[in-house]
Amino acid sequence: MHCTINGKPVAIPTRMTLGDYLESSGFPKQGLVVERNGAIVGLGEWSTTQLEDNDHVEIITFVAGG
Amino acid sequence: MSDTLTIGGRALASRLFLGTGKFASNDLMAKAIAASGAEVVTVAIRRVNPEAGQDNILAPIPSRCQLLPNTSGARTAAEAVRIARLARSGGCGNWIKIEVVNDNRYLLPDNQETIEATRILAAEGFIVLPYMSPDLEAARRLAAAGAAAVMGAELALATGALDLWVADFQDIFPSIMDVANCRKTLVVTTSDSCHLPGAHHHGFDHEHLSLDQAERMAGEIVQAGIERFAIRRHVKRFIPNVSVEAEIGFSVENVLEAFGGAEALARHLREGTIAGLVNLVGCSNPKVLYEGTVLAVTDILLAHDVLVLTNGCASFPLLKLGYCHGAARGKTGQGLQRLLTDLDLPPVLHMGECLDNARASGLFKAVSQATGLALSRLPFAFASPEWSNEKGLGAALSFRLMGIDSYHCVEAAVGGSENVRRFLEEETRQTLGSVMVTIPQPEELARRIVRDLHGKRRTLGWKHSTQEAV
Repeated sequence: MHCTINGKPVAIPTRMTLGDYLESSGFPKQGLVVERNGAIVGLGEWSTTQLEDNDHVEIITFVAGG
Repeated sequence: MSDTLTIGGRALASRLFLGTGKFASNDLMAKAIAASGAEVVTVAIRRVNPEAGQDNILAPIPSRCQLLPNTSGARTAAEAVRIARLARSGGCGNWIKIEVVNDNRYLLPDNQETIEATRILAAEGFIVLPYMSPDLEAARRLAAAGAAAVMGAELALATGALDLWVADFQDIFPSIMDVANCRKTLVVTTSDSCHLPGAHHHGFDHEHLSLDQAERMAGEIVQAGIERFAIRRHVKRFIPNVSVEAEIGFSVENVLEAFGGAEALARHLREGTIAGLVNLVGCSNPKVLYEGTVLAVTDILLAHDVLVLTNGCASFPLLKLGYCHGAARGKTGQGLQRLLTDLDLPPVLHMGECLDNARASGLFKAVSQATGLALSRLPFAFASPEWSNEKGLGAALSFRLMGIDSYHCVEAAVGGSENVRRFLEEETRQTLGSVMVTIPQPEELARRIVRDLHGKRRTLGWKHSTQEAV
């Protein structure tokens, strides 16, 4: 399965949920906002949202600046 | 008395909006937020890189603060809208600073896209704080006009020392009258095409049809200045107790006489004691490091044995900091230092005021005639690192008409037309034999000038013993 995550192509070997992907890839547990195929995925939906082939996922956070 | 600023229904006691960038640590940022009393704190949004390890920026920001995320990075309205929605869903509240920039050259906002994003987000309940200019070109012109060399004039007015200030056509700047009124200084304009509200106008016909009236008019202006002295008797003055020594006002004749004639000056150039001549002029401009950009370029030119000519506003920092005095000869290489010491000349020759560029071109011409070489082939350059207005573009173009490249740290305000930009930066090489080179970093610009001068020297077969490598 191939997804585009934060603009980069990522090969995902097994079927997994968004929550599994975030945890297995070492993303921090807090302060994330996730968008899948243009729609925001709320924190409560991460564990039930299956990643699909060709998904476009954006994972963003707040940083110093402005 | 209540003195609050209300935005989007929220009353703010503090008008300070604090950025969170550049703090050495989150702890320091939290202390700054507490100490400042700021109620609006900005944050940015970025993609997460799990390998980089990121602090949670939101945790140290107290809940009393309104977070103001921005849409930095957005190039279209759609992207700004998307970022704004992400920010809100991330728990940042409904305030959003819209930044839509699709012009990486100038980083100025795209108004049309900004308006479109505002329309969409406001309808969704966002409190939208757009970063925009009423009009891109107008904003650039305002920044240039309000920002430029003006500051020199305003600073002089602000000392309170002046009874009279006569503005020529290029001194029509927005805040001149505000500053002059603080010190009751009389401002006089003379060009019928340039008026300042509240200034006295003594119209002088610049077709010179009133030339026979010039002396009378000058007398009237000076008389008004003298009368202003009595009115201003109780105005506070602050004249800094500082003096500097500088040699000023070199004419072409002075310089040639000092060198022992154009042939002698040309010989020093040919032999490499002088690597090149650069006319370094133009405005001072707070868009770049104010006056510091001129100094940074000059330092590198001198270190590479380039003799610097200057006039107008760019000369002010050079005069103030001693570059136009013999004591600054140490800034040049040893060969040029010896020559300048023998001739008792400073390394930067001040050649008059803003409109005296003709002196530098006169000196260039004298060397061209002495060598029999076209101006475009000689190691000459024109630099106005901090230039800011149309006149500056014209001055640079006037040197390019002579085949002399011009060098700048500020982009010309021609971003609206790719054709005009290409004409200035590339195509005038064919038509004029010269181009406009813009490099924002002054050190890099100066090194480019030196490299180009050496390129011309090599073509001529002129050696330069020192500092060849840049």
